[in-house]
Formats: sequence, structure tokens, C-alpha cells
Amino acid sequence: MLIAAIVLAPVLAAALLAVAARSGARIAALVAAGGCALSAGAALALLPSALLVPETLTVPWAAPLGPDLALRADAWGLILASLVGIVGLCITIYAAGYLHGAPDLPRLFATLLVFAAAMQLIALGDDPWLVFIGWELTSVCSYLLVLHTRRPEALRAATTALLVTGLGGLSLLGGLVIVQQITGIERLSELPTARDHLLAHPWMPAALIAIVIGCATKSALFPFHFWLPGAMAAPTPISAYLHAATMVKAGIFLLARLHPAFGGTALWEALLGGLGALTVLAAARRLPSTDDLKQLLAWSTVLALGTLAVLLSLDGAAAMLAVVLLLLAHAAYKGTLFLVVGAIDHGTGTRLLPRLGGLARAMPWTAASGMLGAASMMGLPPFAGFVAKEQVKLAEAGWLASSTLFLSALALVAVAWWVGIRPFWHRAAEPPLAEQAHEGGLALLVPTLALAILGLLFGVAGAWIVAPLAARAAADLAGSAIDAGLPILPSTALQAASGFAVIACGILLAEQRERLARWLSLLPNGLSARLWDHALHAALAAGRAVVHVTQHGDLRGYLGVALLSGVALAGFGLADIAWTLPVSQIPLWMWPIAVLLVAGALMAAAARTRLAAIAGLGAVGYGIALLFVSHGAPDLAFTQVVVETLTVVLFVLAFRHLPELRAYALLERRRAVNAVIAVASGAAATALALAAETGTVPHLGDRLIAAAWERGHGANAVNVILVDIRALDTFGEITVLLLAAIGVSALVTAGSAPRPLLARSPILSAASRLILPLATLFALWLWWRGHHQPGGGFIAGLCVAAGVVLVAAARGGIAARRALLAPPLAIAASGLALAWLAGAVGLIAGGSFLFPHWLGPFGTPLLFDLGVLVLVLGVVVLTVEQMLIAEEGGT
Amino acid sequence: MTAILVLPPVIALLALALLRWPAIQRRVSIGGGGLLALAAVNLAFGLEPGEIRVWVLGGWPAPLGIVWVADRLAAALVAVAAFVGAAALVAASAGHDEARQHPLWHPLAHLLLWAVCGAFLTGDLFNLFVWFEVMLMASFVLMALGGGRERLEGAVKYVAMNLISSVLFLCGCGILYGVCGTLNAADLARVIGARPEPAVLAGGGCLLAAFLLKSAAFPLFAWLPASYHTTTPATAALFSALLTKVGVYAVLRLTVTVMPIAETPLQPLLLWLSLATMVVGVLGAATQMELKRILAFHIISQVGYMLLGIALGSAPALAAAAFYLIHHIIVKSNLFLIAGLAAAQGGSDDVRRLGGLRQHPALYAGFIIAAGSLAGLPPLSGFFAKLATVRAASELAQWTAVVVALLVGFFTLYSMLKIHREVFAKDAPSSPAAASTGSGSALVAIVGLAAVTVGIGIAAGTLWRWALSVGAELAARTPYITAVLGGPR
Repeated sequence: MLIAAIVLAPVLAAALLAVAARSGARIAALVAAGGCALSAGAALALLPSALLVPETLTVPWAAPLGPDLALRADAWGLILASLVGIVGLCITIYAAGYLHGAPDLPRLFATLLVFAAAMQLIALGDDPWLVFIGWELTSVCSYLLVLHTRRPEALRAATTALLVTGLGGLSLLGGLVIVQQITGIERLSELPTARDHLLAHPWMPAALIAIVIGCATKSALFPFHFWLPGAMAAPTPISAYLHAATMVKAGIFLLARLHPAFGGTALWEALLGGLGALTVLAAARRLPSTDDLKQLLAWSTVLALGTLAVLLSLDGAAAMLAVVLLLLAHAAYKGTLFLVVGAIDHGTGTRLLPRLGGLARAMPWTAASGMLGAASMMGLPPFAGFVAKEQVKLAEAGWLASSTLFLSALALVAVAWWVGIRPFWHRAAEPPLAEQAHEGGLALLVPTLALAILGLLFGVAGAWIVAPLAARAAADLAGSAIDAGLPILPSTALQAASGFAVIACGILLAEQRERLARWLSLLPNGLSARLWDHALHAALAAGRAVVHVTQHGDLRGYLGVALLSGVALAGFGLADIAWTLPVSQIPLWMWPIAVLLVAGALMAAAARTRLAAIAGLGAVGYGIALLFVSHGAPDLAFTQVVVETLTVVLFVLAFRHLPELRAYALLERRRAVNAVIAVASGAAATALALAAETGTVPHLGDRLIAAAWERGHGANAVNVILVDIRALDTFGEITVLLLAAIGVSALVTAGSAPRPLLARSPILSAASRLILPLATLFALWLWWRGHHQPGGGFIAGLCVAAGVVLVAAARGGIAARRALLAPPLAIAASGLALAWLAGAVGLIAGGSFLFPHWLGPFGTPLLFDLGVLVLVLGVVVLTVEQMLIAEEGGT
Repeated sequence: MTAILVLPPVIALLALALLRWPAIQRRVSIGGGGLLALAAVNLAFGLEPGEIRVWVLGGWPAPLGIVWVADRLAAALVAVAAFVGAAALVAASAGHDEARQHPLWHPLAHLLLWAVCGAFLTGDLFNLFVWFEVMLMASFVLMALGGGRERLEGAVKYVAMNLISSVLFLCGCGILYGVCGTLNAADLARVIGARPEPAVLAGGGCLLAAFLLKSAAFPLFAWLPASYHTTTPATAALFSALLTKVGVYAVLRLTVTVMPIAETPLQPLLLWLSLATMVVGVLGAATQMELKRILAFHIISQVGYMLLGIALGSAPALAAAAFYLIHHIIVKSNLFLIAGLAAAQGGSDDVRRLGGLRQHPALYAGFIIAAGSLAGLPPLSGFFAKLATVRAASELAQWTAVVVALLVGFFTLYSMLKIHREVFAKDAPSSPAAASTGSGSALVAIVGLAAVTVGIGIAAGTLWRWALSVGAELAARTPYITAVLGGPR
């Protein structure tokens, strides 16, 4: 259960902070420190078990897609987990003092705790997806923590950092997916057993490259290192924790975990060795020219990470032990120095190296911490840095790795000198600054000193406490055991001399800072950051081009694309049968109708006035009615004719509200394109219609006619289909009509003063009084007989509507409304209600909505049809009236 | 299922009758939405594994009459749609939402929801056409409600392009009926078999074009960015959750159940179209600076992920598409609600003119969850959806798809970061606009939807096992056919 506590303690503390969001900064810090302390304590308590049998815990979660909550506390994991806990404890205490009075502190601490928990998932997670979750969460937390100050440069830096690490995260995800695909393993600890299978697989290089890219972004390896110095916009304790001690180690940590599976392959060595060396070079290039102490530390972190990568590229347990020790030592001394820099900033108000000096008198405790940290960083015995450096020397490295490691050692000495020694002991550049400097209080001093002493302890007590653990971790990572006799002091005079010689060289170089900076400025600088910016800008430019091409705003273009897409997609099938289509079977009488249709369409397309266009469309409509007649569907033909007529009337009514038709000056080329689209669409539609005739399966049609008579009690199969067999379709379609009516009532409002529709004629007015009742009677007759003979609710509704429209035309819309007794929208809605009622009766009587229920000649389908009648009446009248009333109101 | 068919029109009619009493109308409408959601959830959770419930409407058995078919995918989608619908109905009563000023909004929204449920459940091609028409008309009027030049222009583009889709749909229906003699989906699937003949393929191609237009797939998506940004927050939430997803669902039913495209040239075509959709959508979003436009383009790119799952066609890939659909409906509608509230708080839709909204704890938390999920950050729902898609693609060795899916994830992160940075993290550029009052109901909807997003992440294992069995059922085809034609109740 201890293993769960390592992860859960920070989570619970964060939850506590979220609940008590208004708690003061001091309480928030206490809660955060408590969470970290518990986590650290649990990790330390587990250390002994890691040497024997690692404790594991598995709680099922999202397998087989994603992770189970599988934790495993082996030596390597616990080393990172302890670091996260211990450094976290120091950092939270420090932050409480350093950020005193800053806004949103509880939120900051809660984010910090979530980050700590996510790091513990990386450290202890045994399920690759669980590790990935921790991985992404640390990136997000880092983003939120970096932008905490909300200064513009912090926002920019935080975004860049998350984008780079986010891209790496996706790459890592891809790599893990491939590895999982190849090996089928569910646990990271099983990966070494799948080594042979993995290495033999052709996809292995892709997986490895993807994973290395992911880890490189996280651990700020070349060419992704540029985000780390930018992230220094974070408050200093945050930088110390995330961007020196823990998060940036995650990439190295995971790569080390994968060492047993991939280590020793040429690709592994080339990738890590190459990237590591380039990273060290890139960082070394920047060090002398960096004035800001925090930036200096950031670049030295990049350098250290590159060094770790180089060590990882090597084979053998000695190199792995060096990785473990260097990682530990680096966390301690770099954390110390970050806190020292924070204290300097706090005490003097500046972090610029040239301005600082002589602070030892005013800040003695900070100076002491700085000295301890610097000593460890330089590799002086008996500090952790010395132990690590001696082990690095034992690693079996080639000439490239050796020289990189040597360069790194020199650079680390120089940085230690600049950050840990010079500001305190160098002659004061600005005496007032040194005199006004002050210590920052216990909250700043204690954690700094604690971390510094930790670095000393790692070294002094290393042989007894750290050594077995580190050796065990190294053995796990290397796959071979190693003897763990770590030296505290140089064992030979030669060793001592060579060590001191390196340190002396480093200090000499450090004192030549300006000169070095001048020389190094000849080398290129900031290439990868510029490359990144260019790539992002290129993507955005591509995006703008995409929007420009696809969202040009011209509806005609959109419609053309839509039509052509339809033609193209249908074309895959049509291409195979285009030459076998039964063109010769088209009956002769069809041709004149076809000519009429085509002529109508052409007329509409070529029309110069709206009226001419409508006339053309009308011709098409009547042509279709002819088609219906020729196929034995008089109802449809009749309805089509009435609808067509009504449409023309509506169009004419609407036109009077519109401005004159603007002649679209189309380019000739555009006309040609349109013609091609039209012809292609027409040809495809024709081919489709012919292809539809090629079916050999018997249609439902005959069965439907029989069923309509036997079960639907109707001789007019069309009507029975509409109101009974497929009544739900009709129900939906009349809903469409109702929706259209709602739209008309909401959208059609009085426009510009229209021209009068008809001269008011007394004869027409008198006739309309007579016609409306007649039309109503006729409609009821149509409705009643519709079930057996041509007729039905739809056409009946149109008839009554025509009567009302006549009244409206003769005596005005308001008179028509009076004749109707109710608002047309209410009539339309009650039509839908009637149809619904017919369905509900079926539900109650027959157990299913729209189940037909008959009492003699009266049946629910008739009621349904009545609903259609009423609805159609309401909709048509509403549409026509709305325009007439609008203009009566307007004139 | 009865309640899902019968309830919404009644609520819509009631809401129409209550036009003059908006306060009562809102209560009735929200209550009705809640009932619908309950009925839908009841249906979804009532289905046993492998159960397909068939409902013969009016007692006319398939293939003569219309059947509704609730397999577990359809039922789950109806449940999610109804839930999001209820959330949108609640959000529409928020003071900052223009929808509140329109008494016609509620009846229209219910009819839209009804049509969406019908489209998910129907087992008949022509009946699907009818629901598409109801959806189109309801959404057109909803979109145009309130008027204004920009809004009407967007609505006209929307309706004009969708009418092309309707024409293509009808063409496809006609040819399939001509060749196969039936329009019942299961019957069509039985007649067509595993390898569609050319004439069927031609008709299916028409249908595919129609559905791809509805899904806003490349190159047929122009209607979406042209119109969505003009709508009110609640309307945008409804549209983003439902309209394109019905299209995607129709593509899935067509290319998997009715007419398997695995051995036709349409399969690689759909695959490439899905990739293009992802890329074009996300690049478009990256260049936008207005909240709703950014989100509108992201719908397109996310639709690409779902279409990718469908195009891959294996059982895990279909499972991924199903998972993606459910995750996306919740997240996208929430983001539109959040964008609406954020724009109301800051008085602008342009991210550059907004800022400082991190002071709004509920809104901020809702955004972090919804945006993080959309960007695929673990452990939120979007991560699992993306992981499922990528893993399905890698199983089939579709490496291009894997790389594109991951890269598109990067640009999604880019867009969400842009919104976070500009709208929430940075300080407000000017003195904050008068804080709108009465937006509590929108916050309720936002927090509720965010809770579901978190819940999907927590229950990802359960949901994935469900999705896997759904995917297997879809890929097998026969369970659907025998359920409808074998022994309807």
C-alpha cells in the first residue's frame, strides 16, 4: 500500500487545496509540503524492498485499450520517486517564502502537487500508457506553472514549451503504440524479455526513433533544447523543481528504462550519442555569453541532460551506474544552485552575473549553500558530484563520447564557479548592491541548505546507503550485475591530480568568460528555435491557404464541388456499367417529355429575368407531372401540378420584395466550368436512372399493392402507403412543412413597399365568398375518397388553401385570416396534433404508434389524413398570407 | 423506444401552444427534454450485450413497412444526443443567450432532437431521408432565427448545400430501390451481400456523397464554417453535437452495414478523404481568431478521425469510431457553450480582445476539461478516443494514418492553447465588459457535460469493452440482418 501512497499523497493534498481554494498561502504551503513529505516518506520506506523483490500494485482500469493502474517500485523508479518527494518538500517550503504575497498561491501549490503525482506515475508506472499519462500531465502542469506570472514572455514561453513537449508526447505515443503492436507486452518490466523479437522486427527503427524524439523533447535534447531556457520565465522554485531536478529528467529516465530493450543497437548508440553530443555542444556554445544566472543554470541543465544522453548511449553496467549517480547528484546540486540564485534575486533584485559580487558578507548562509552546491557540481570530494564523476570515468566510452564528457566536465566547473562562487566572493562590481543585499528568511535558507547538505550526504554516505540502491538500479538498466564499491575520496594520487587539474582548467576558463563568449559568437546560434518558428509559420500559412481555397464564400463554387463529388463517387460504380446501360429500352414517348424537361432547365439557366427563370422551372415541374401520369400515378401528377402552380404564385409574391435581378457577369471560363458541372451531373443522373432499371430482384411494389388492399383496407395503394404503411414518413414530412411554416412566420417580415398584386375586383371579391365553402366541401370529398380513389389529405388541403388564397387575393390577407377563424400557424400545428392523435390511438389500441385501427369505414389512417389536410391548409395559407399581410401593413 | 418517437412532437406542440408564456414554456421544454433523455438512457442501458431491439411501426413488418432498430450503438448515440439536447435546452435559458429571447427556439429544438433520434434509430433508408429533411428544416430555421445579414447568408449557404445532399440522397435511394427492390436497410444488406455490384456501388456512391456532405468531410464541408459561427451558443451546441454526427453515423451504417465497401475503390477513397478532412480542418482552425470559428473548423477535423475509423473498417477501428462519436458529441457541444459564455463575459468573439476569464472557476474548469479532452490530453475522454483510433490504424499497418492522426493532434493542442492563453490566462486587455447576469443555467450545462467527459475517462475501460463488442457486431453485419428480417417481435 505504501506504493499507492507515493502517488496518492500529493493527489489528496491537491484535492484538499482545491476544496479549500480560499485558504491562505501559508496553509496551502503546509498542505503541499505535507503531501510531498508523505510521498517522500513512503518512497524512502520502500527502498529496502526494492533491493529484494520490488513491490507492485495493479488496479484494473482501461485495459485493453489504455492503462491499468499498474505500479512497480523497483530501484530505478524509487530513486526518482524519492527525489521527487524530497526536492518537492524543499521546494514547497522555499516557494512559500519566495512567492509570499503572490496571487493565486493555492492554485499554484495544487498544480505543483498534481505535477508531483504525475512524476510519480512516470517513476513507478509499469503500464506504458500509465507512464504516458503521467508524461503528458507533467507537460501540462509545467505549462500552467510557467505562465503563472502571466507576463507576455511567460505566456509565450509556456506555450512553446508545451507545444514542443506535446509534439514529443505524440511521437512517444506513436512509438509506444508500435512497440506494443510488435511485442504485445502490457508491462514495461516485461519489455527486456521481448528484446530479441523487438530488435528483429522491421518496424523497430521507427518505434525507437519516435520514442527518442519524445524523450528528447522532454529532456531538452538537441534539437528541441530551446524551450528550456525560455521556461525560466517560471518562478524560480518552479524552475528548480521542474526544469532542473525532476521533469526534464523524465526523458532520460524513460530512455534508461528502455535501455535493456534497445541498448547496444547501432541505432540506439548513434541516436543518443549523437543527440547528446550535439546537445552538449549547443549548451556549451551558449554558456559564456549568458549573463542571467538563471539562464546560465538552464543552459547547464541542458548540458547535463546531453551528458546523460551520451552516457545512456553507452553499453555496460558502469555507464548505467554513472547515469544513476549523475542524475542524483545533478538533482541535488542543480536544485541547490537554483535556490541560491533565487535567494540572490530576492536579496539584490538582480540575477545578472556582471553586476554581482561580494555578497558573502551580506548573505553568509546563501554563500555557504552556494559553495556546497558548487563544490558538488565541480566534482570535489567527498560530494555526490565527485562520486558521479569518478563513475563517469569508468564508463567504456569511445573517443567521441569521451571528448563530449570531458567538455561537459569543464563546462560544469565553469558554471559552478559563475553561479556558486563568483557572486559571493568576487570583488563587488556595484558596492551599493552588495551592501543592500539581505538574506531571505528561514523559508528560503533552510530548504537551500538542506538540498546542499543532501548533495554532501549522497557523497559521504554513498558507500553505505546510495551504493547498493544505485548498483541495483544500474544492474537492472544494464541487464548485468555490477559491484557497488563507490569511492568517497580519490584512491590514487594520479586520480586526485587529474581531477583537480580538470577543476583548475575549468576555473581558468571561467575567468576568461568575455573572451570565450567573443570566440564562440562566431558559431551559429539558435538554429533549432528559428527552424521551429519557421515550421509553425509554414503550417499557419498552409492553413490560411486552405481556408482561402475552400472557404472562398462563393456559394456557386460550393455547389459545384458538391455536385461533382456526387458524380465522382457515383462514378466508381457507373464506370463499370456505363457502356452496358439499356439506352435502347427507353420508350419513344419518353423522349418528348425529356426534351421538355431539358428545354425548361436550359430556359431557367439562361433566363435574364426572374419570371423567365420561374417559367422554365415551371416547365420542368409540369414535365415531371407528365412523367407521373405516364407511370400510372394520377394522384402524384395532380399534386405535382397544384404544387407547381402554387410555387409559381409564391415566387411571384416573393419577387415583389426583391430588388431587380442583377446580371451576374460571369467570366467565360467560369461559364464553361459551370456548363461542365451541369452536363456531368445530368449525364450521371441519367446513367443512374438507367442503371436503376437493371435490377433483377423483384420489387416490393406488387407486395405493397396487395398488402394495401388486404390489410390497409384501401384500393388506392399510394394513399395507403402514405397514411398507413409508411405513415411515419408522412408524419416526418408534414413536420417539415410545419417547420417551414414556423420559419416563414419568424423570418418573413415587411420589406420594401411592394407593388400591388391584383387590382381589387368586386366580382372576384363576391365570387371568393362562394368559392371558399365550395372548395372546402370539395376538399372533404377528396379526403374521404382518397383511400380508394385518387385524392387524399394533401391535395385536399391544397384545395382549401387555394380557396383561402383566393379570398386573400380578392379581399386582402386580413380578411382571409378572419375567414379562417384561427391563426394559420395554430391550424398547421393542430394538423400535426391530429396526426399524432391518430398515431396515439394506434399505440393504445394496437400496441404500436401509428398502428391502424378501424371501426367500420372509419379508421385512424383517415384521421391521420385529416391531420395532413389541416396542416397543409395551415402551412400554405400562412406562407401566402404572411407576404400579403406584410405588405398591407407596409402600405 | 416509443417515448423517443412519441414524446418530442408533443413537447414541441406544447411549446408552440405556450408561445406567449415563455417562462412556463421553458420549464415544459426542459422537463420534456429531461424525460426524453431518461427514456433514451433507459433504452441504452436496457439492452443486453448483443441484443438488437426491433420495433415494427404500425404493425407493418419489414421490408414492407418501416422498422426502427436499436442496436447498442444506435441506442447509445440516442442517449448521448438526448442528454446533450437536454443540456442545450437548459443552457438556452441563460440570460446571455439570444435563444432565450426566441419563444420559437424550444419547439424547433425539440423537433431537431426528435429527427436526430429518428435518424439514429431508423432501419429504413427512406425513413432516414425523412429525418434528414426534418433535421435540415429545423436546423435551418434555428440558424436563421433572429435574422441579420450574416446569419441569413450563413443559413442560405447551409441550406443550399444540404439540398444538394438531399438530391444525392434521393438519387441513391432511387437506384438502390431499382436494383435491389427494397429500401429496408437490413433487406438491402441481405440483397447486396459482401461485394456490391457496380449499379449498387453507383447508388451507394451517391448516398456516400450525400452523407459525407452532412458529415462536413473534405471537400464538402464549406457549409459548416460558413454558418456555425453565426448561431447562438445553445444552438451551436446542439448543431455541433448532432448534425455532423448523424452524417458520420449514416456513413457508418451505409459503408459497414448496408453496402460493405471493404473490397471496393470507395474504401481507400474514404480513407484518404478522412485524412484530408482531419488535416484541412485542423489547419483551418489554427488560423482562426474567433472562438466559434476555431471550434467550427475543429468539428471538421474531428469528423476526420471518426471517418478514419469507419474507413479502416476492422472491428477495433469501428469501436474507435463509436467511442470517438460519443466522446466528441459531449466535448464539442460543451466547448460551444463555453465559447458562448466566454464571449458574453468578454463582450467579443475574438480571442485577442478577451482575457482574464481564469477568474471564473467553473467556466475555467469546464474549459480545461473540454479543451484538454479535445486536444487528446490524458486521462480525459479524447485521449482514449485518439489512442483507440491510432492503435486500430497501427494494427492494420496504416502508418500514414497513424502519423497524420498524431500530427493533427498536435495542431489541435495548438488551437486549444491559443484559446487558453488568450481567453483565460492573459489579463483582460481592457476593463471587463459588464458581466452578464443569469448565465447560471449555462454553467450548469457546462459543468454537467464536463463531468461526463471526466466520467468517460474514468470509465474508459468499461466503455472500450462496450465499444469493442459493438465494433465486432457491426463488422459481422449478420446480427443486424437477422434481428430485423429473422424474427421481429
